[in-house]
Amino acid sequence: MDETEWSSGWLRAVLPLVSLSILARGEAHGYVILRTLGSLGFGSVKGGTLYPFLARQQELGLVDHRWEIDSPGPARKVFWLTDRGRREFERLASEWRRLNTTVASALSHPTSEMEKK
Amino acid sequence: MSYYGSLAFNLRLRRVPESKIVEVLREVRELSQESGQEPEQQFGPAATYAEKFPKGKVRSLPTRLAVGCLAIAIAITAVDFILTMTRETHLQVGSVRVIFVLLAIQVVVVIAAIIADHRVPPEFRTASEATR
Repeated sequence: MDETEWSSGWLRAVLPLVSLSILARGEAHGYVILRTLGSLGFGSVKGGTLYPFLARQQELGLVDHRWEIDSPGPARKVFWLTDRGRREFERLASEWRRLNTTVASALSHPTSEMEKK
Repeated sequence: MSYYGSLAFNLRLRRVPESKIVEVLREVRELSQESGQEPEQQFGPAATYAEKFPKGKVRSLPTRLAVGCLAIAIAITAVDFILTMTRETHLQVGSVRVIFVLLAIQVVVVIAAIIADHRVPPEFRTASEATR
């Protein structure tokens, strides 16, 4: 497996958190989000994955958008986090840090509980 | 058929509202132009991508018209058949002709509906309209 290719399950799990973290830094349009994901090491995430996800976040009121005219280029859909989205991002980030610590601990001492028994 | 026409058709099959179809097509065009890749490379086959959107409730106008025409054709055929039977005669040549004419009209209507459902929405066609 390529270093920048992840199992789709992992990607599905972390895409919400990482995408929200990108938008937490400031508003961005779809291509910028995809390029940022690539530069962060998440590989080549496709528009067919990102846009339906962003649409769901909009339905949940976490993300909002506007269309921006940037002649002569194409119209761009610019996304940003709503206040609710920012709170949700903080919650998810905090949860992720705790989960990360728990998983790291489990991986470094996988048999400690079994040994006690 | 263009990717956009095929995507619009598949979204209409899922009864996605026209406003949402315009939005989705604009997203595909934006990212394809920005990335320099074909829509299929970024979004996969149109039919597969359309499945990622939840089903809507209202059929497209051409489909509703086709279904309406079918209902009318069935009703006319049924009435014609009943009238013929109540006269205790065999199916008359005139009735058969009516059924064939209705069938031909129905085929034309269904084909026209399929063609109409493959069109891209007018709001999507020009870049200048894309942001309205």
